[in-house]
Amino acid sequence: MAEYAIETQGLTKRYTRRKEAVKSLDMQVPKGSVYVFLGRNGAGKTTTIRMLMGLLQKTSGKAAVFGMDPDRDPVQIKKRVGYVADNQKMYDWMPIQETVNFRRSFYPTWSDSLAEDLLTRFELPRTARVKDLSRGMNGKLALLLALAHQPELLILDDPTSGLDPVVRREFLQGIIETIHQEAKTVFFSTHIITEAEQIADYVGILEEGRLLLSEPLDKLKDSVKQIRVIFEDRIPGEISFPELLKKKTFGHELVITVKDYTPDVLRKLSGFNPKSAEVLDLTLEDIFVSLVGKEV
Amino acid sequence: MKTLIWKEWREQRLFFFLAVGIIVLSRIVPKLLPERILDYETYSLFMSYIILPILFSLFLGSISFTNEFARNTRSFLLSQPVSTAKLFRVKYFSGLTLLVMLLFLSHAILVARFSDLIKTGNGPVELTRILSAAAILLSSLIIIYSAACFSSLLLKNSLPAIICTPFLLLFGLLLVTPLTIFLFLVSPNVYVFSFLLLPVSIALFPVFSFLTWQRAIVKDVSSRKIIFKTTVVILLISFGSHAIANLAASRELSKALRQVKTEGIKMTPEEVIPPPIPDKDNAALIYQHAFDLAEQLKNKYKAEWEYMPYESMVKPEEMTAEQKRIIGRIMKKPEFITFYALIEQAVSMPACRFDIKYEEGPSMLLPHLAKMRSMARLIDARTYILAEEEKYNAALRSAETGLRLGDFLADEPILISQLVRIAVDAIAVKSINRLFDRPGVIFSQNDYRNLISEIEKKDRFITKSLEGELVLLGGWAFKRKTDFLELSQSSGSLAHKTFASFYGSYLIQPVSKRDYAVYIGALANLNLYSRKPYFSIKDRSAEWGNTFSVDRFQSMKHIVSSMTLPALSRLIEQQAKHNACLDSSKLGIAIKIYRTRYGKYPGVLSSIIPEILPELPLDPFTGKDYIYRREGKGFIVYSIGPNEKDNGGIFDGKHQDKYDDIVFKVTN
Repeated sequence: MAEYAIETQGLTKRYTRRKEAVKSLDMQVPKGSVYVFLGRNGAGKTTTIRMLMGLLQKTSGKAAVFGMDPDRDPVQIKKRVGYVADNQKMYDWMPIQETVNFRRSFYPTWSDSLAEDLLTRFELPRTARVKDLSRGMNGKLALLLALAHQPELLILDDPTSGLDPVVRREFLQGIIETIHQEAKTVFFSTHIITEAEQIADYVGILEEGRLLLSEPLDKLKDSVKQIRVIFEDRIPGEISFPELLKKKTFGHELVITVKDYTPDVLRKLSGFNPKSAEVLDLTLEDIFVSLVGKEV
Repeated sequence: MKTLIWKEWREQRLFFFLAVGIIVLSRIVPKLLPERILDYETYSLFMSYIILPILFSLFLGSISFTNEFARNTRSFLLSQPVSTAKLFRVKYFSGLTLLVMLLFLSHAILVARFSDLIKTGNGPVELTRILSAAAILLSSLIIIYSAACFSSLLLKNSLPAIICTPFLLLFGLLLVTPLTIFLFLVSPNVYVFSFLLLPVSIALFPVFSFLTWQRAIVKDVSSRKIIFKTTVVILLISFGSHAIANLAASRELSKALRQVKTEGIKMTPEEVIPPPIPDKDNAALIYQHAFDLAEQLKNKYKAEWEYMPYESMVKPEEMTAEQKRIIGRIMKKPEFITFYALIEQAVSMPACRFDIKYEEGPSMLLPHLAKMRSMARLIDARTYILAEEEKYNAALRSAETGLRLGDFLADEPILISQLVRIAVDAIAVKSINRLFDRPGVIFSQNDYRNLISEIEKKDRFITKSLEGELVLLGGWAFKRKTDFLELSQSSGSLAHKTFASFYGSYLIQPVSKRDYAVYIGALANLNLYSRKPYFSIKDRSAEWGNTFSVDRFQSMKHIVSSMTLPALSRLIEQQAKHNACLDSSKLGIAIKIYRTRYGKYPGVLSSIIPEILPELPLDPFTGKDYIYRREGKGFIVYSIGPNEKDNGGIFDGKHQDKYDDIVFKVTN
């Protein structure tokens, strides 16, 4: 039995010779965790998820969902995963009840009571046709369809995009409620940092197809720090060490972001004779911005 | 599965009902029009078997997949835990099922005459024909439907998909054609051929569609790569098999060519076409004058021509004495004398080349042949009239001229020329026989000897014309390294050109090479037979003729051979008849010499050797002596002819199958 719900090694997708959407992705999503896959639009989140679902041919590397290769066992994976695609469109001529019935026929593990429960909870009108639903309702219906067969893993690809803040909140509430009752794994892709902060156990940050980091959220907050260093005169140009993520200068002031912060970092800095050095805590948003900002 | 089918039905039922509506409308509308505007029978057949089915296949094929793209529901469908192959099958076959249902409906509503067709026809034969027509219709519709599916999977949009489908069909045709030719050549009959070809052509587009679906739609791989790879594989199979067929055909052809070469048969136009001669030696120029003059005479003496002996419908023995006198009189007119003098001058010339454009192949014109025949008859007429006037020596000279006339066609390497030569000789020999048959006509031994030596000079073989046939006519259809074809393409009719370029095209080459090999082999055999005594190869030569027209499917494999060669199957017989005709008259003349020497006809034929003839010619139809006996005051010598029965020396032009002896008969 695999220990991770999702595991990738060197997963790469190249669309054309120049354009690499996902670059050698190494990622582990532990079972039972809520993993937030954070990245700006176009960072490669959807590409990664589609490869995990067997909906896209990977160029190289390995991917495994419950230890199964999505290229070889896509049907088994789809059975055990609740997947909400990015901007998922369902058949707009079907009424909600028919959509539910349609979906139901594919899953032996489908729970009618759960579906009923969710229909009521999400306040979805059974007879309304899909084409008449609001975006929020559409998202909720998609979520219902992903949950009602009681999957072990939920893969949600930007499910809240296009929703207004109130609906988004409601939606997240829904997710949190459902998943925390059971030990489900959730793989949640989003570009909205506050969402991540609300529900994440783990955070993976993707930028231009590269996974910049993948860590538990609390550990991330402990390890990524900002240090404000002030020098007497010129800032020495040769400041660099492995933990360094980013540096910025304002006159005599140097602001650097480091990962894996330990007091050791401060010791290394003191080698450059700064006037003072101050360690600052970062929010997830700060971390995200400092990581995906252009200059290093 | 059920859900998926239900979903497909829900999505396509609108189209289905619309289609049913269209069928019903096309049934009703013409009924509202006056009958003379529209023939309902033709209209309904056309509509229900061609127009509507094609429209339905195109539309159904293009919408069954594009629904998912138009509404962007592809991801949702694909995220269901169902194998993508199954999704494809459901979509493909539900569309196909609807198509078949629509076909039945359009048939039922528009035509509805299955029972009629079976009743009026001849039972099972008609039924198999209906079934095979239905199978062909259905297969072509499946092909169109599948091509539309493929097109829609590539373009993800119905309308462009419909527009592109014809191009894809052409593309498919290109892919499958070489394989088709291979299958055609290896199939022993039409059933095996269709059994092999139909699955291949039906499967082509579903395979393309399935691969595109599985890779491009499901896995988002660039469809260009998939199509490229699949096309390469199919092309390899298709052109590979074609190349094998081509190689085999080339070997067969070069074997045939080698064989022909070792037998010394001429194979190039240069060898076959007779060399030109200087104008001063060319009898053709003089004949040309004679032809023109004959035309003038014919116009001038229209009335007299009505009973001109052997030229007209009136038989010479039915001519009145008055008519004979009139003909005798006009023959003494200066222009007639000039005309006969021209021919006499021409037959004394060393050679003859009519202006024939051999390079035009089958479209070459041979106007001189009909005229030469006409000349032979006019000479025959003159011989007859002179004999009637009892000017026997002049008649003999005229007959001699007739005997030499045909020889001027001997150089022409075309079969028709040789057949005309045979006919001209037959006229001349007949003319001599008639002259000899007159009571009291006796010539000197020298005169007889001259006639015999004229007959002995004659070319007895048609070989030359077979070579000409091989190179100039049949060979014309086959593209070969000699650039004869290119030469001939500059002239020749459009149909010939089209056929030649089509038949010479790379794709058809395995067929045309085999055809050419068959053609060469057949002509080489015929050439061989033409050099042997007829009786010894008669059976094989008859068999030879049958090999090209046994079965329609097989003969398609060598279409030029089977179109041109059967006409040659009686050629060997023609040659034998010619020889029998020449030899029986030679014997007849020799017997006349015997009579002048001994005052009586010989008792047996062998009495004339070795004194008068060194040896006796043999009847080509039996390999034995000609039959000779004395009859009344005269004698008869004859060959038993092609039917190989002694018909008592009777020849009857109207019942040639019963009385076909080739006879020289003198009654006094």
